[in-house]
Amino acid sequence: MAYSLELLEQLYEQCLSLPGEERLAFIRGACGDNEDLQRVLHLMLEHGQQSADYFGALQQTIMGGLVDEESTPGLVPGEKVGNYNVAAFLAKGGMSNVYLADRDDGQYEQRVVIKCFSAKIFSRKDTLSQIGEQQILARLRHPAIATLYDAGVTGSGVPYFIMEYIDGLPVDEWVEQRKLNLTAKLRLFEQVAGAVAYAHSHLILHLDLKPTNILVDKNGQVKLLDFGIATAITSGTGGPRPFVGTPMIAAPEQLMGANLTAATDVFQLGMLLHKMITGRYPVADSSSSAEGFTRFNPEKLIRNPEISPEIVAELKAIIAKCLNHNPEERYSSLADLLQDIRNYQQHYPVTALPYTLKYRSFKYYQRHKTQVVSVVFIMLSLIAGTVISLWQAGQARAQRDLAVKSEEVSTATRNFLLDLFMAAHPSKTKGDTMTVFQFLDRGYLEAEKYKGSPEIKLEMLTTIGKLYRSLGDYRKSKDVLDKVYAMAKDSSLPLSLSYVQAIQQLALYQRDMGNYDSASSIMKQVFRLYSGIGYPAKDSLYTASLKYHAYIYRSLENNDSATALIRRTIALEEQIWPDRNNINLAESYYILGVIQRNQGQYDEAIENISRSLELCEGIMGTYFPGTIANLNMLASTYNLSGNPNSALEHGRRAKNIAFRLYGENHMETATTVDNLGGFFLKLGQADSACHYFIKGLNIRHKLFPERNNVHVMISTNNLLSLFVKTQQPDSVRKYLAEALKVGKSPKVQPRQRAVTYWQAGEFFVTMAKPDSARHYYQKALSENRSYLPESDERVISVVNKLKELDNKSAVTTNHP
Amino acid sequence: MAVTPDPIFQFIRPASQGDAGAMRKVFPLIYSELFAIARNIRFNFHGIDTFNTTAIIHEAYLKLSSNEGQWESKAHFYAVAAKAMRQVMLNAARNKQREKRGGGAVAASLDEVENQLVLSPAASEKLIDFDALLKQLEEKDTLYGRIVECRFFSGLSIEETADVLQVSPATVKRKWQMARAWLYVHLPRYGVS
Repeated sequence: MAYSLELLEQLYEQCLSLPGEERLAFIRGACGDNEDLQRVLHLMLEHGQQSADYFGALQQTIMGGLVDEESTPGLVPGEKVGNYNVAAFLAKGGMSNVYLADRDDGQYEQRVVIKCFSAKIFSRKDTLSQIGEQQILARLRHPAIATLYDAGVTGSGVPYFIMEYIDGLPVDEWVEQRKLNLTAKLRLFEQVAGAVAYAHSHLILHLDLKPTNILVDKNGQVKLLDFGIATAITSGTGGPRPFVGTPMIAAPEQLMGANLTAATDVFQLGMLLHKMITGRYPVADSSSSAEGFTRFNPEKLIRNPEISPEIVAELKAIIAKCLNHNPEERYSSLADLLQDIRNYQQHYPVTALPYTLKYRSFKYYQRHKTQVVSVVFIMLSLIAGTVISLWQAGQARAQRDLAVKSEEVSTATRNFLLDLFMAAHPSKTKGDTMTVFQFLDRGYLEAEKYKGSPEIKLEMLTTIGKLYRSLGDYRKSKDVLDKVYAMAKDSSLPLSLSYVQAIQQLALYQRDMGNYDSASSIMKQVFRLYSGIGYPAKDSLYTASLKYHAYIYRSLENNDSATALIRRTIALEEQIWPDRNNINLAESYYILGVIQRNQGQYDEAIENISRSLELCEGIMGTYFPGTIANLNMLASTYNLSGNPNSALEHGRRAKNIAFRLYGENHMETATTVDNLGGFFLKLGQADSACHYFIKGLNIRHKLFPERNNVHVMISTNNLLSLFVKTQQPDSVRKYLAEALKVGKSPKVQPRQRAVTYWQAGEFFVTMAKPDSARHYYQKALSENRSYLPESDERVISVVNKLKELDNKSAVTTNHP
Repeated sequence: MAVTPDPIFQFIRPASQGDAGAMRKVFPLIYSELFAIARNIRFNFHGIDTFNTTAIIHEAYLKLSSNEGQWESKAHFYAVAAKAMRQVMLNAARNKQREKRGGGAVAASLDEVENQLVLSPAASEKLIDFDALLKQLEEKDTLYGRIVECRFFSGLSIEETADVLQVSPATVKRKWQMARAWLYVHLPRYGVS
């Protein structure tokens, strides 16, 4: 009996919403005597799952039909390839046939795998063996990477690779079979990512990180197969770049035939992590972005709790970050990704979570613990001497600059190098074995040899110079930047943003060397160049330059120019981000506040710093370096403006956040602790002050066992001042001796030495030893005069002290 | 293949909205583009494990939409491309069948290149049966055909399909489930007429 499709659809849907046992009765009632309708409904309900499976399988079969089955050549058992005898056929891959083989030179037994390919996929016959040799020469030796023994072309023209035989299960099957819990899965994932990171450090990408290429042997050891094969196939081909990889897990840039970088492997690792956790890949999802199709919308993964509900928010954020459509927005290195995984495991905030800029600045400070990083950290803070400089020097800017620049000139080489450099940045190499400088030196050599476009070479050298600079190797930085400068002046390079950025690097170099005048005049040139290329002022790169320049003026104690520039920056940034909800803007308010504070305009300073603080916390959250910088500065401004209670309140917050964010033994933490001591001292609570000062000094001693720099000096001076004030001669002698010793270091500035001498003078006055007092006051005076004008209060007060002493002694001599 | 984007993008929207004349104009262009990509993939696509047709359509989209400003909505493109994809697959299946029946010589009207899509005889047969059934379903409600095209032939997600066809995701989900079950039980072996 006939029935309408509409009715069928309606009944079918109603049935689906009913529990299984009620369906029968419902169908009977609804269909009446229409047996055809009843039968179809029953069948459809019964076969719901089968129908889904059937169409899924059919889809696969059809697509499988697109694959060329006939062109993969084979070997036969008994055939000899190199030193090996083919033993048996093992498996068939999409592009290759895989055989087991044994070594056959009578020397020792060795079982290997031979993978042979269609000759078609290697456009030039020699590519394969060349790449193979390169890889073998590169000594890609890692416990989690299957070793490649040989590569070549057989007598009958079949290209092949010979590699270590691994008896293992694909990682997804292993996870399932062993019913691994999340912790174990993450540990396994770390092994995989660690091996990929190792290969990246040897300039080799994987590009096809599917589970069948990631085996786990019975001991739980991960082994990655086919490293570099994708690279081998993609390189050396003329014309359009062939797609190599697995579409299911391919990054958008792979599907689009765009440049492949380390970020491509990051994408695939994101897919893998999702697969390992949930057993499936993330569901493709459309997005309304104008730039084309987004296979997968990472935003939705985070925001929609119904997508992949079994993954916790932090890991979702990590995966989403890996899967960002734009390679620049993904983790810039595997070290970053691994760090975030560790953060999650150790219950630290996961930097990917706010998804935007947060992780960048944040991570910079999170990874300070290795020595290399401490050194850089200290360098940076010495250079600018203030807390903000640390914030300023944060990763965020460096990365943003690079990202913007890479839009200008884009080549696979350069991107990959950049990724490597970023990976090598000490803030990002916690625990990595390769040293940063080795990395850079290698990059420098490569860039020097580079024969392609001069603009790219300029870019490469600029980047290297910048990295040397931020690592504190000024000699090399100068070396590189001189080359950049010569190139820029010499060649017929068109004016470009790269060129401007290169010149700016020179300015920053001079700034770092303390040559603020020269830095300032180069910055002026930078702005002339900006207008030369017609670069818009309403742009964050431009405003960043303005900010640099404002900073340089501030260091020149030219507060008027600094104020003018930072106000201009703010005006522009408020146009760029009309809602004003932007972290760059927060930074500008902060700088303005600091300048105002230095000029004694405390109310205005407090207003601007508070505004910055509010923005920082709103955008980046509480556990963000900028938040601490703001709190510190706010507290110290309150303190100066005669409001020690507010100072204490903000200082305490800063200290608590610093402890949580940086841990105890960290420069920033020490600063917050010292500040607290200062506020207590102002409140007249000497015991609390002493407690914090000693704590601060202890941290600095741990950080700088050689005890020869500004920070140790400042802490020592704090205690010295405290004990002078509270008149504890033994303690004064102890810390005075210490401060005098530290003060001998050339790294200590006159202003700190002057403090020590001044306090010594004060001390010997109270001890009624005018000669000693005079001796130290004189030393304080000469230190102060070395960097301050005669009219400065600090010079005048020492002069007055000396006069007082002279008067007293004159009185004594006149009346014996 | 020299396909300039211009002619396509004038006709995409009307075609996606059911304008048969526009469809006739744009269909061949997209069809041949999809085909070229599918063929190219066959030669360049190594390491294939699983593959979804979406990748092919993406590539066609990226290629054809490379001129900026031409493109108001990718949805329209996908609506047409899904239909084209169905046609690519079906033609390949028919060719296979023709071969099997000893038809050997390929009809002159077919692009030589279509022969190069390798479909197994079993898959071809299934596909042809499936298409015949789908036509029955479409006669009763065209939306079924379009949903199946998007979901099955283009591998679009529920949300993408909803976006493309301008209906709610719930509708797509319901109708897709229904269509799948209906088609399945009407395959020859069950003898449901």
